[in-house]
Amino acid sequence: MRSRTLAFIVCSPTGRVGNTILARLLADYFLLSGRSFVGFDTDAHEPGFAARFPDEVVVSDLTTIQGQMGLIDPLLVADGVPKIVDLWHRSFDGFFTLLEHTDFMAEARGQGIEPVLLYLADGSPRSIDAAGRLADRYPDLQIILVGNDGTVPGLESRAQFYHYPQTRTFKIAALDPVLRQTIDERGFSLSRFMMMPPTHMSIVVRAGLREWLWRIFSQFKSFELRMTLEETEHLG
Amino acid sequence: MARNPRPLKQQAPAKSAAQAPSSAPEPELGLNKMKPTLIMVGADKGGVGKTTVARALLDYFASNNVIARAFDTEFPRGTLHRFHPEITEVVDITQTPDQMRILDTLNTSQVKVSVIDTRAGALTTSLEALREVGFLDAARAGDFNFMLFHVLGPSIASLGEIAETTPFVSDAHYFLVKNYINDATFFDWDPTTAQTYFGKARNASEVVIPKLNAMAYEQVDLAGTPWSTFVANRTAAGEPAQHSFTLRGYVRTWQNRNAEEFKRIRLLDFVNGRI
Repeated sequence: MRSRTLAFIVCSPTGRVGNTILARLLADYFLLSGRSFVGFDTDAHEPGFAARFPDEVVVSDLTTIQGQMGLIDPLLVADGVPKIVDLWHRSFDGFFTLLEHTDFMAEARGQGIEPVLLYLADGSPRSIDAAGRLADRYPDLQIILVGNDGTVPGLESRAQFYHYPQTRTFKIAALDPVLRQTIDERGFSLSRFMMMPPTHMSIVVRAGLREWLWRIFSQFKSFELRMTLEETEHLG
Repeated sequence: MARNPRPLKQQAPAKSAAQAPSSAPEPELGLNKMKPTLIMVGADKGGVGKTTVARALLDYFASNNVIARAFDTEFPRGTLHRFHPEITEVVDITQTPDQMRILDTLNTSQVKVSVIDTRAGALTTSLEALREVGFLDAARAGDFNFMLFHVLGPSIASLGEIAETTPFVSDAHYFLVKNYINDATFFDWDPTTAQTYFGKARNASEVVIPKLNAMAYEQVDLAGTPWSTFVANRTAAGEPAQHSFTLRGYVRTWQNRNAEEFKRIRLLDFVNGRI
């Protein structure tokens, strides 16, 4: 059985919740495990994700038909290479309208593409409402709720978290400001850091960063394993 | 789908229609229960998308297993012919031989649905021609189904067309088509004027052709194939094509919306003689 091609859509209807860092973490996770990925950045003005991975990520301006084609068409290529979309919050509505107008989900199913929504939760009514609508509209769609303690501290213990559709969750721990500064540096690659930590770096920074990344990557790994198990035919 | 059990008053014995051939179809054969249907798509102005509407109709019939043929009156070179070459004949509706080609074959042809895409500015003359050869009377007598899809333009001139057309089609199924395919800012008619004109077309119902993404429209145009062939990612010759999914998706959604609209007006019931 051929395995499905995963298409991760990192999204949130609100800004500044950590879309780009999540897309980046996912991209580095694949690079670290020796695989490639194809990425898309829909923020045509300040493409932070594309700036990190100039060879793998293309910028798609969804307000133009060319940009729409540049995103949707490659997303439907079932080549086994994971796709990562960093959906800018301003193109959130446009993107889902586009999916609706092109009947994307049906085509994706037909092509053996598995869209996975990584939904960054922030507890705002707008965010809860949009998540609910997506879950209603696409009952078969995998939605993973991501709590980012770095941008929205303690959300998972708050009452409004339970207003989201009941789905699987990922958690990104808050990162110490010093470590944050390190990974924000231009040209700093998370996967390269994991493979070969620079010797000049403080051991405290190295350990802290490794710990933080490890926790996130192991969640990605367990997600992948579960997907593999679900695809296995002879499992009861 | 809702079936209307109303008794069909069109089942009257065949009247002597002007052009009815002697070999009338035998009514007991289930196949021949279908009366020939003539669908005219027209407008008195060019550029309002008649051919688009005709193509949408042909596509809808094809996807519902209704075999149709088409006549393109954009003589000598037809746009509709380019998209549906196998089923389209280019005719000059003002010439008697071509009128015979359309009307005389309505009863004999195996294909029961004929779509005429009338040339720009020729709607009234075409209707006159149909009246003169007795077709409109025959349709009124129930020998044929006749439908008119009148594609409206955005200007007030279009409303004048309605006034001109209504005398011909009081018994036809008359549909006023608002074609939004290329244009979003459309139909800014003065409500009172519009009401006056629409009031004249008592039996008319409205059909809306929704907007289609401009680039998607253009690519189908370049491909020169029926909408569904484009959606199926095939060339006119049936070979696999390389059309963008995004554009195909737009066309497919647009087609589905058209199909809903045609279903709403019970187009299939009409050509199958169920109304």
